[in-house]
Amino acid sequence: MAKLIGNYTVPGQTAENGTSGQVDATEREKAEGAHQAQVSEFERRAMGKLGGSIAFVMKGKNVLWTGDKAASSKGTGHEK
Amino acid sequence: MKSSLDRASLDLVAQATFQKTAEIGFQHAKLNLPYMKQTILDLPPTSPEKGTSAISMAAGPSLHRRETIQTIKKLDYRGTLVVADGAMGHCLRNGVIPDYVVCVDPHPTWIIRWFGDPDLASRADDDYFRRQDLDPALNTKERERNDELIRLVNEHGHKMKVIMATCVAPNVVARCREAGMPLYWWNPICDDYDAPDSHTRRLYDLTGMPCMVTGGNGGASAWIFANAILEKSPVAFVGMDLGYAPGTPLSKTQYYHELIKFYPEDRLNEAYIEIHNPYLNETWYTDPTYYWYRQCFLDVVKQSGWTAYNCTEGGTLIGEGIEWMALDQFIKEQQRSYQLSAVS
Repeated sequence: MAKLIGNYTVPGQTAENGTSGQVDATEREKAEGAHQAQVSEFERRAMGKLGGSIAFVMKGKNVLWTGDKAASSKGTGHEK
Repeated sequence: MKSSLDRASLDLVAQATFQKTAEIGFQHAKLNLPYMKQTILDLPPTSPEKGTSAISMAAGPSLHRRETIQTIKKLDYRGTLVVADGAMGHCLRNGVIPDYVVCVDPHPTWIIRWFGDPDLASRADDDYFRRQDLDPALNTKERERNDELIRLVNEHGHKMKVIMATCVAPNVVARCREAGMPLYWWNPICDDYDAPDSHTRRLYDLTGMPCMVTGGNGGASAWIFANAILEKSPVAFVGMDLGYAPGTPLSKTQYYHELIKFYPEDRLNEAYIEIHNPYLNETWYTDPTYYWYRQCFLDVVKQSGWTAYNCTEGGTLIGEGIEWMALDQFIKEQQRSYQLSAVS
C-alpha cells in the first residue's frame, strides 16, 4: 500500500475508514493516550483554531488522481 | 519560542484545516459546477520559447524584502511563471504578467481581495490585509489599492490562466469570469481517496475534475502544479518563506488574533517556533500553521523526489531535497541552458 503522508483521522471517521486503515483499536488507544500527554489541553484548543488554507494528503508518489479508471493516478516518476 | 512542533500538534493543525475547509469547499464546488468547462489536463502546452524551467511564486515577505520581481524583470526571465493568487497583485503592479495563477483557499471573503473585490465597501471591517506582510501594498489605502487591483486584473486577466480549485468561493469565480480569465479546474486531494467516506472522492464524484495534491496552501500548490501538470524542470520557488523575518512584531503575524485568545500577552511568544536559517545566518520564526505548511512542503519534496530550488532568499524552508540558490543564479543558469539548447 502506498505511504500516506499529511494524514490524520477526522473526528467522526473510524480509523479503518480514515487514513492508514491498518491501525487496530489498541494501537489507536495508545496513540491517543500519547497524543493527550504530548499536547496540553490549552495548546490543543489553540491549535484547533489554526487551520490553514487547504487540507493536505499525499498518497505514495501520486500527485494526481483522476478516479478509478485504469492508470488513473499520476506519480512523480521518481520511485525510490 | 519553541524550536519545533511535535507530530501531535501538527495533526491538530491538519485536522483544523480539514474542518475549516472541507464542507464549505464542497458547498462551493456545487455552486461552481456550471462553470467547470475545462480541467488542468486540458491546458495547452507552454510555448517552446518558454523553455523547460519555471518559477513558482508565493506572497511571503521575502518577495518584497529581496525585490524578487525586480530581479525577474532585470534578468528578463523568459521561463514559465506560476503564482499563488496572493502574489498576483504584486506582479501586476510591477508590470509582470504571470502565465498561471493558482487559487485553492475556499475562504469566502478574503481570497477575492487578491483579484480586487468589487464589494469591498459593503464588507464587514477586517484588518487581515492591513495587518500583515503578504502584500504590503494593501496595508494602507485599502480602497484605492483595491480599485487599482480591479483595474489591473480587468486589463490583464485574459492573459493569465487561472488554476482554479473547485472549492474556491463562488465570488472569486465570478470575479475571474468578469475579468475574462480562463479557468482550468481541479479538485484538491484532501484525504485518502481510497477510503469509503473520502471527501476527495465525494468532490470527484460531484465534479469529475482531476484531483491534485495541494501542499496545504496556494504557494505549495503552484510549485506542485508546475512540476506535475506543466512537467517543468527545474522549478524554483520564490516568496515562500513560511515564516516571519527577524524583528517582525507578533501582532503582524497571520494567526495573531487567534493565538492571543489562548496565550496571555506576556507569554504569546511561546506559541511561535524559531528556525535558524544557516544560509542567511538569521533566525526567523513561524507560527503553528506556517510550521505545518513547512512540514507539508518538506513531505511533498521528499516523497515526490523532485528537487525544489529555494530562491526565496529568506524564510524557513530548508531540508532534504531543497536546494538553496540565489534567484539571479537560477535565472542566469536557465537562460544559459536555453541558449545552449537553441544553438544545438
